[in-house]
Amino acid sequence: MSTPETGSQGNGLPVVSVRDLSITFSTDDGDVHAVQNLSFEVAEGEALGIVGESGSGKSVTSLALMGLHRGTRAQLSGEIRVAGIDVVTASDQEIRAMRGNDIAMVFQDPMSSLHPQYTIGNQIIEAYLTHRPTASRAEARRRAIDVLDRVGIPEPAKRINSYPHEFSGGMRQRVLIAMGLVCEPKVLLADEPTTALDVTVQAQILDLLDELRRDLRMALILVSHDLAVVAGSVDNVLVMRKGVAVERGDVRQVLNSPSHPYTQQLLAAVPRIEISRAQRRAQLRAEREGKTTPAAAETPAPSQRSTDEEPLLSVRNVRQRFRIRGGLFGGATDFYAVDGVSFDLYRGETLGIVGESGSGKSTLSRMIMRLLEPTEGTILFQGRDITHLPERKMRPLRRDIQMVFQNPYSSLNPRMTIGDSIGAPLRIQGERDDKLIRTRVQELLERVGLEPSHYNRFPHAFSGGQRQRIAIARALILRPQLVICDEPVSALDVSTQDQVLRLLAELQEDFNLTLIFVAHDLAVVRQISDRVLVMRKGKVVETGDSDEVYENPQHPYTKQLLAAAPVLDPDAARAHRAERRRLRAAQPDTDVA
Amino acid sequence: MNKRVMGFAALSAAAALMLTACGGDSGSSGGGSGNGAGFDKGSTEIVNPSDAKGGTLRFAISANMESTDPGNTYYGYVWNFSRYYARTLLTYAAAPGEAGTELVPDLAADMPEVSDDGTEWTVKLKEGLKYEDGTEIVAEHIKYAIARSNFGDQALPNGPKYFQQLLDEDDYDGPYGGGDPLEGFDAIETPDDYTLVFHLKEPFSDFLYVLAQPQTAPVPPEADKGEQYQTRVVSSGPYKFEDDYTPGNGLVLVRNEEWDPDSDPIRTALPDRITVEEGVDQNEIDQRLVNGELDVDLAGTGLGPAMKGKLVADEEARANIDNPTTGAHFYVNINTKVEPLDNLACRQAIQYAVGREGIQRAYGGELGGEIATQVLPPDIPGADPSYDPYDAASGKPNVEKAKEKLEECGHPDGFAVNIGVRSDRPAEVDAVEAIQQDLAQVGIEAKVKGYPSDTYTNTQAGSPDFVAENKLGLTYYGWMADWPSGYGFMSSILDGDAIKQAGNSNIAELDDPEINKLFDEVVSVEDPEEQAAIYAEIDRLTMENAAILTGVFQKSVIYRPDNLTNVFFNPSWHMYDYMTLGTTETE
Amino acid sequence: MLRYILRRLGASVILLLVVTLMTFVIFYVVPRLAGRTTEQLATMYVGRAPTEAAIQATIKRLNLDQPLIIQFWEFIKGIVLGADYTFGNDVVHCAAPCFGYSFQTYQEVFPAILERLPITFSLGLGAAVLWLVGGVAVGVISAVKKGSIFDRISMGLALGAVSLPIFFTGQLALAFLVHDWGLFPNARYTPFTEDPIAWASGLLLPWLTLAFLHAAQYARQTRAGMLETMGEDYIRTARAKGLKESRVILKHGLRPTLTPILTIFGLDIGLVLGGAVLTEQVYSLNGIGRFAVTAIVQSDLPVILGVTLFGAFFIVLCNLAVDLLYPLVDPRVRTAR
Repeated sequence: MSTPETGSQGNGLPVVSVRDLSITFSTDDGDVHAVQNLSFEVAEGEALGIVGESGSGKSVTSLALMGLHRGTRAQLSGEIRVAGIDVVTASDQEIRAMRGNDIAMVFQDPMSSLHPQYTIGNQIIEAYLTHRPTASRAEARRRAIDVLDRVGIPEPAKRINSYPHEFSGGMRQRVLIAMGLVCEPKVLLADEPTTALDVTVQAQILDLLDELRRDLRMALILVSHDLAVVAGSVDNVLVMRKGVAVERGDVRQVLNSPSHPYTQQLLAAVPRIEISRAQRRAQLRAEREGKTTPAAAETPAPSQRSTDEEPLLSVRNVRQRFRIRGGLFGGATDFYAVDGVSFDLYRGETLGIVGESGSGKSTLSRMIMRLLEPTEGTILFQGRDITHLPERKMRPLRRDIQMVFQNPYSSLNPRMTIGDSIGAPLRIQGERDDKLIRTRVQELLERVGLEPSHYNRFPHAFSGGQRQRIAIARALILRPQLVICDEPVSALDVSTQDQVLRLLAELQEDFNLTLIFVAHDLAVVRQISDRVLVMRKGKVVETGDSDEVYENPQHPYTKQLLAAAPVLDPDAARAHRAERRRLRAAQPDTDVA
Repeated sequence: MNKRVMGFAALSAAAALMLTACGGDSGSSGGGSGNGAGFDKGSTEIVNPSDAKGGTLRFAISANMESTDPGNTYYGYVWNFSRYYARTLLTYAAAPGEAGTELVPDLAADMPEVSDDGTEWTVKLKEGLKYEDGTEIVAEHIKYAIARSNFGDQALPNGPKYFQQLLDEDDYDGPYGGGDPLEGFDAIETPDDYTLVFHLKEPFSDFLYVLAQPQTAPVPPEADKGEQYQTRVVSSGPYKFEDDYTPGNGLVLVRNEEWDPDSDPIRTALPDRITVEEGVDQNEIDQRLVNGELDVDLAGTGLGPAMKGKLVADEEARANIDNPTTGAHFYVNINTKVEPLDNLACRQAIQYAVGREGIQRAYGGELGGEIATQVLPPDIPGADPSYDPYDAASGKPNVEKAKEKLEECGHPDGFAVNIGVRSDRPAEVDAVEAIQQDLAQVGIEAKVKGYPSDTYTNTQAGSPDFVAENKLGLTYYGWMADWPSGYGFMSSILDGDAIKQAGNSNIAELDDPEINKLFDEVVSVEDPEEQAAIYAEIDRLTMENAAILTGVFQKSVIYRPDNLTNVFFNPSWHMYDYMTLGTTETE
Repeated sequence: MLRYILRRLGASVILLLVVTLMTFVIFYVVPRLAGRTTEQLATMYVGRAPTEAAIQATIKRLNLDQPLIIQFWEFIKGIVLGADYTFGNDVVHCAAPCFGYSFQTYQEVFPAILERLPITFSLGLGAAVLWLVGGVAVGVISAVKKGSIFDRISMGLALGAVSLPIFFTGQLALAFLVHDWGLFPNARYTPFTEDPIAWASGLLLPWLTLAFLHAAQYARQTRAGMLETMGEDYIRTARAKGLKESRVILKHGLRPTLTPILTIFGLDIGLVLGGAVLTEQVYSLNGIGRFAVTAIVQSDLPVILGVTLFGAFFIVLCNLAVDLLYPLVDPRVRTAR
């Protein structure tokens, strides 16, 4: 299969054309300009990537393309034409005829985008019959089975009667794509279609979209916050920032030699899987020396530890069993979420734990925190066996092990000021001097890049990245020995993510922290970890020095993960895609998302 | 003696609260306008006289009927109503006013004869009277009916037990226990099928009234099913049950062809059918009465508060309203044992200090009750409405006199006293509060103590020990007689021999030898005039003793629909005489 | 599934036993705690002119001198096996399930309840249909036309209706609609089998009154649920398919909204079938609710126990029905079990 040239697939006529589009929301605080003077075209068969961080206006734009702004407070000016229909001025009826028929949309969250109370067949057939009213139900059903088959749902004739909750996330996204395909639309609009999915599943979905576009000669508009996601799948790319298109052009050109500073900044923020820990560290240190605290450079590199040193944390063959109730006769079955994991962690070191959902990585971190009591095995912390330590005796140890959670929105109590939130652990540990607490908290606020004057504000006043900084400050207030970060940046935009990662790296040097960094993103993990643990279904499939694991993976699963990781170079991305096909062909039974 | 159940009376008393504003002109007659015969006409004369037969006479009641069994009831409305299908030995004459208190023979051929010593009463039955199934009514069935309702531990629970108290019978333990039901019951003899001879322990001149009770209606022993006999009472009257009666589902009576009208002095039997609807909301009953969709409110206590408020203000509607006394006296017992009320002057101070207007207002003014100046209600022989030793009729307190009396009893600055009341009866609570205010004017500090009405008579006010312990010097109370005689009204509440340890009604604990003696004597006196004089004397002595703070004689407000014929208020039942009613409503 | 149903049924029986025991305790133990003696308790059930002998007989008859557990056991035994009762010289067998005889009216309790059941059922089910359909319809329209005049008026009315008790709306309706204006016939129960039209017309006003109160709740619930559902991602998906708005609302929006309402509906039906006390009272319908009120006023323990148990039975039954129906409405529950 040859690599097609840009734009060579169609006849060049635009199926989507946007001219001078502005979208304004009037609020009580005045007008908010979500999109300003946006223009672009998508030709038949062409793939366009729209990239931007939250607030860039990319999602508002995609909704407007579907005419889904109707009934909201959005005010449009300019022109949107989709398959010849003027979306701004057309009647509701025309818009309805267009939706699903000329342009279909795949949404971000497959978990919530399918109606939970109807079978997938029902929902796909409904879409078909809406636009093909003369077709019989049997015909529609056949068609639904066809598209389900096309998107790779196994046994589609049987699965058509299943409900959404009986599918995994990736499968649901396939169902949504099938639903989009059922009327053979000219344009498929995919808004963050893989954000909620695991890496390997993300790769599969992107591969599927790419394949469908080529086979069905559809135009594809792929909207994402992640440049790496669009890199391998589109011909042209449009970078948006605060409602304005800052850069557009051929994907290779934009990614290889971005002209706009924002694009450059964005590219720089993307964690690169090919950059090693040492390179990253050197780069950060160089940047830091140029700026503020040169003293930090004197911290010895953690890799220089002596081997006879006692590990801070030593985990041996831990297993965590859960009983699953139910089943036909109400019996319980045992399920090991973590199954025989062992590792040592030394002071000042960072251990990365990588895995997809269901790999047991979060369970493992909760076991180390002793939020769970391990079923088997031992956990030694500072040489002390804490495996079955009662909560009462565990309490004094808690100040030494802290945790930063994934969701910065729900992990802070909305009714407490952030100062109180951060200071709470001190108070719990018995500190009574309010003045001292305040000083300590304010120092720390400053240290994590916030203003000391933020002490009395409530969480809602902060952005996601700022909240994660608050969460980090809260974890550090007790000067812990070990900090466990469970997916600390996965809910953040790329540039925010970069900032938080930098902060963690700095703090680690300044406080000589020992970190466990749990994440599904391989690139992020590589940048911060000395050693990596790759987990799958509760077991460690590969472990070792991080450069070793990344550059010379041994286990097929690790290889699969690495092949699935999105890369910024469009050509490399295509090569990865080919590699994935090869891997899939070699292992046909590897679970399809 | 026991009081007839006052639940309903008290309810309407509470209802009367709404009326306060409308009581001003009850004296004027509203006749003339509309179709109604005139205000309160039914209390004194027969309204809409008619002998037209036919139609359906429709009754309704807001609760369920207490029972349809004449042997198992204590509510006046059942006593009145059950006569449709249960004839008694004697009954009250069907006439308005005082004539209605006269007893006439019903099943009896003549008025009973009493032996010279006053303990042996002989009643002859009319011959040839039949039940609805054509079998003959015999004396033994009446004896059986009295046995089942009075004797033994399984005696029917609801009715009074006068026969058990009066008859000279020791060891009979009732008909329910297997074997011959009447074996050993010797106090009533039935020498033949038409003669009953009652043997009393002691002379009792009011025994005639006892013979008018529904317990003397005949019950064929083979039809008796104990409490469940009410399912189908075997009729001796002009009407019989159409179907089995199920409590709550109402009752339908149809003509009993076996009834002989010539044998019956009181029943006109005008309607073809009589229906009773049970469980109809009081407001709904009132509304239907006014709309002509209903003829009689069976309970006989008059309109509910909402409709009463509406109608008494309506000049035209007043012509359809009767406002008779219910026979109930609401008063305050002044306990003669609790200090300082054991002192006569202190009791008299209270008599002077309390203005009766406040009590009357609690019952809704003049339409709800008239001020009582003595114990006996006006329609009972012996009552003398002009007798008013404490100037109660003025309605106002006499502070000067009260202070004088306080001085005399050694408490010139007043004293403290507790006053008991049934806290779930709003009118009574209001009355007590009015009394409290008046007493405060002369320095008597009355503290209100509320008790639930279902235990008041048995365990609080009715227990002398409780009264002494809690220093219940004053207790609010109400009383109604089982029959219209001075003995029926006064013996339980004023006779020192009637003081009981539980369920006591002589709550004032009045134990005056002179009064006690009069009660002992009066039961042997046969001349009504002489009796009346004795009752008047007892009343006078009581008032001099100041043991009863008279309150109001309660009145009800009854709507008399135009379609009702032959209507009049019978003072013996304290409601319309149901036996004469007819209806123009022929459906 | 069968096992699940059996388990639920078992739990229901235990629940009913507990309810019975509690009713028992309230009516037998609480008065004692309040200081009443056995004699005084018996006095409540012995009529109005009790002789000492009659009180003692009543104590024997009701087992009042026995420990509570024996009294309870006798009651349960009667339900399962039936019991014999003596009336006069008659011995009557009260067949299982025997709740005994009323202390006040001497009817056998269970048949008396059964006899009133059609009235309560007719009232409750008719009203339930009305309030469900009416309430949901108003709620949907209000949610769709959020902020419109209709929305504001209907939600205002709903707030009013929720806060107006039935004895108020019922009396008002009676006074004006029936008596003053004659728009409705008087409430009256005619068996459906006898005359369906009379059945419906006689119950129309009680239905409306009872439904009005509940419909208000349902309208508010539906509106709130609808507003939430219409913000869901799958609604956007449905719109993106090109579905008509009416279909989006009625097929995709309504069903998830109705799911929680089903639960409430089950409970409400259970409650109403146990006796719509106020409605029956106001409209003088001789159903179970009125039966219960009379029994309570008269301290008629067997009837109170019977009615309580019956009411609890319906609530438990309806709950069970809802739980069994739930998987049909929400497929997610099927596998979760």
